[in-house]
Amino acid sequence: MTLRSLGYILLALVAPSRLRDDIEGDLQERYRRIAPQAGEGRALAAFYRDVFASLAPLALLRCESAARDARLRAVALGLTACAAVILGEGAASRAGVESLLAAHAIVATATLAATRPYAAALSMYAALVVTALLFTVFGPERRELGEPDFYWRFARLALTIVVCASLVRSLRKRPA
Amino acid sequence: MGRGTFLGDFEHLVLLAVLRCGDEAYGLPIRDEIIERTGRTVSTGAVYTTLERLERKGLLSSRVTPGGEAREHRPRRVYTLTGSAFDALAVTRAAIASMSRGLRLPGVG
Repeated sequence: MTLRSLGYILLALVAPSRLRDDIEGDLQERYRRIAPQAGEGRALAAFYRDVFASLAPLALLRCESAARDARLRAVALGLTACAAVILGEGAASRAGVESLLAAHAIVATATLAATRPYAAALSMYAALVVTALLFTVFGPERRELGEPDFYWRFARLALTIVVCASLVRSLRKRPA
Repeated sequence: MGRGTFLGDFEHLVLLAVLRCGDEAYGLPIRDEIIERTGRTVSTGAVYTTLERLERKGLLSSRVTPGGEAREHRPRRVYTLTGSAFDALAVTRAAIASMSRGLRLPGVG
């Protein structure tokens, strides 16, 4: 345990794991370069100045990577659910498709909430309006089909909308 | 001219620093190069964040090499410019030159 250990712990909390060794190595190398010329105290001060200045950009980088991974997971889940619907009720169980639909909705909403909170709130209001419209438009069909079949058809329709929106969003995304 | 080929101010500096550092282009020399030549205060975290973004854009490639005694044998990631990076540098330089042509800025020779 050295006086620099706290700095390494702070960096480990925010830095992406892929870069941790590189960053720690650079800080160590710089410390060893400064210490003989300016003294241990100044080298330590320079070390902690660099650690604190590095926390914000590294935390931002970590958030970007997490959001990108979550977006990819959302699209992958959506495509899997879509494939299950296309294969039909015989090949995929209703419970399985519903689980995929729910998982996709959770991941997509979490991603949107993390990256664009206002867009997430607007999407939820839009979903409420669309739901109300669908219930009005398909009211007679609902009575004809009975509750379970109506909800099953509604779930498939919602899934198609969510998957299409995800795909359009990922295709429209500017290249990084 | 593709929209994605323009570089940000700091991205531009980092790419040029990587080019200047040659075979020793890893985080610390890149940071030192920018500080020495521009006088800008730059943190190690900011340099690595930009290097990571540039690598994601396909403008840099990296390889991990073993670190020496000074780094307590921690590995270091050495960066190299890709062909797209040279294109991006040329496009950005041309854009800045074109925007600056004919302008007289106070205090600039």
